[in-house]
Amino acid sequence: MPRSTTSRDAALNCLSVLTGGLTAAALVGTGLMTGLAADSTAHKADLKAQSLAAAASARTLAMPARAPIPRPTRTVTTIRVVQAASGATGAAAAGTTSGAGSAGTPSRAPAPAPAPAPAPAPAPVPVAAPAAPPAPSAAS
Amino acid sequence: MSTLKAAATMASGTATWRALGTYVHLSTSPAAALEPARRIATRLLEDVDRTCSRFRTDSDLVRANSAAGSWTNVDPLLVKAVGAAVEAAAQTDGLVDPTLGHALVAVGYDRDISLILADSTDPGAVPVPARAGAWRDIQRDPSGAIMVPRGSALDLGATGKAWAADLVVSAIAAESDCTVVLSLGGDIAVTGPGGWPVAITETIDDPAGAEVVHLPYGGLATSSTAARRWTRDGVIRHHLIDPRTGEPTSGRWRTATATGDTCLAANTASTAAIVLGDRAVGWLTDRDIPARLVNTCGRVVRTQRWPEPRANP
Repeated sequence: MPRSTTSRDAALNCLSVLTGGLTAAALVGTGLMTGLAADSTAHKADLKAQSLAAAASARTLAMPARAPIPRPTRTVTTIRVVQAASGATGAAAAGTTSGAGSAGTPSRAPAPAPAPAPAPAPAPVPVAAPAAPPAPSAAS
Repeated sequence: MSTLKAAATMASGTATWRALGTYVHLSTSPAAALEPARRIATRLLEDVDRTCSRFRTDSDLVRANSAAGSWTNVDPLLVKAVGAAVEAAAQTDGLVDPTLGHALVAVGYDRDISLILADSTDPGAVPVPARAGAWRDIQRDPSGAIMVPRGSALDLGATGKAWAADLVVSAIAAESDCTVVLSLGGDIAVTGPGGWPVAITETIDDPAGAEVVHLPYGGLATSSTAARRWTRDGVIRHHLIDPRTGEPTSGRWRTATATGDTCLAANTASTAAIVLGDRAVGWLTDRDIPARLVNTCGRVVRTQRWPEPRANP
């Protein structure tokens, strides 16, 4: 049976209202969820920032005063650098030691004395004879 | 008798072994302090390797790199190591960049150096320059978490050894009044009365060319393109990457040695000098950093505060 025009219009109006209501509810719900998520994220970020700030503060307090950059000085005594293990190729086997008392074969005799440098040399540290082998600074 | 003389005349002890893919040279004065010092060093270096290695699949660093873009819980030790690397990047405006993990893999440094064949026939990959300033986006939580920037991978090779040397020497000094020196692949930290002599060469296999200086305290580091080299696709590669290009550096300096109040500072300067090339001397001089540079022809250049060669007696 055909429906009247009035009835159809009423139904369409109700549909519009229903659709509008659902859309509004969805928007409000989405906004709420987004807000909650943003709050949560902001809270986590705050906690992280507080943690980092606390750590930075602690580090600042614990950090000793920086010493000036050390100036290396040339040792007065000639040090013969020898290969501790003959034929060693690996870093673990190779080493350096002072010439005095070493059983190794000197691979480099002290260089002949060049003419004194015209520029004033830095004041050397008065080391009579290093009792220790020099530590190697070689890229590896 | 000065403390220097006292240290020099006291018997010393030395131990050498391998760790972190390189050589370890530990000396103490007096010698009696060596064994306790070695125990401390061994334990700490194992901890550093376990947390900071790029070549161990179980390391915290590898886990963090795999999860780039999100937070990863890691050992606080790695957080400190990453903090040191970020500090180095900040001091050099990114010349010493900890986000070169992908760039290093692209040039073939994708495994421990001892496993990279010198005559590798692997095809060369497209260079991967670091995203400018990506290191600024590294997030750290000192309690034990880091976040690697999305699209980046961390590599601590530029600063890790130097930072570890400082860490070990500090730990030993806290337990003993001895003078101690530690060299980790050429990155040297010294503490205690009198300092220590240091023999500087370009590679560990070339002790004959050593220049010996006395380091009173702090750190000294040598960076060189002559070490950690390999061939890929017929091209010689090395481990010092210019973050601006993603390629191994090709500037005028092949080796740089510098000092610093810490080994990390020294290593930061030596690495930056290699990357800077022609601008290195000015950069070092502006910062009053004593340094010794070797150019690609073998000529040695010293900055103002580095001692000139002295005639042998």
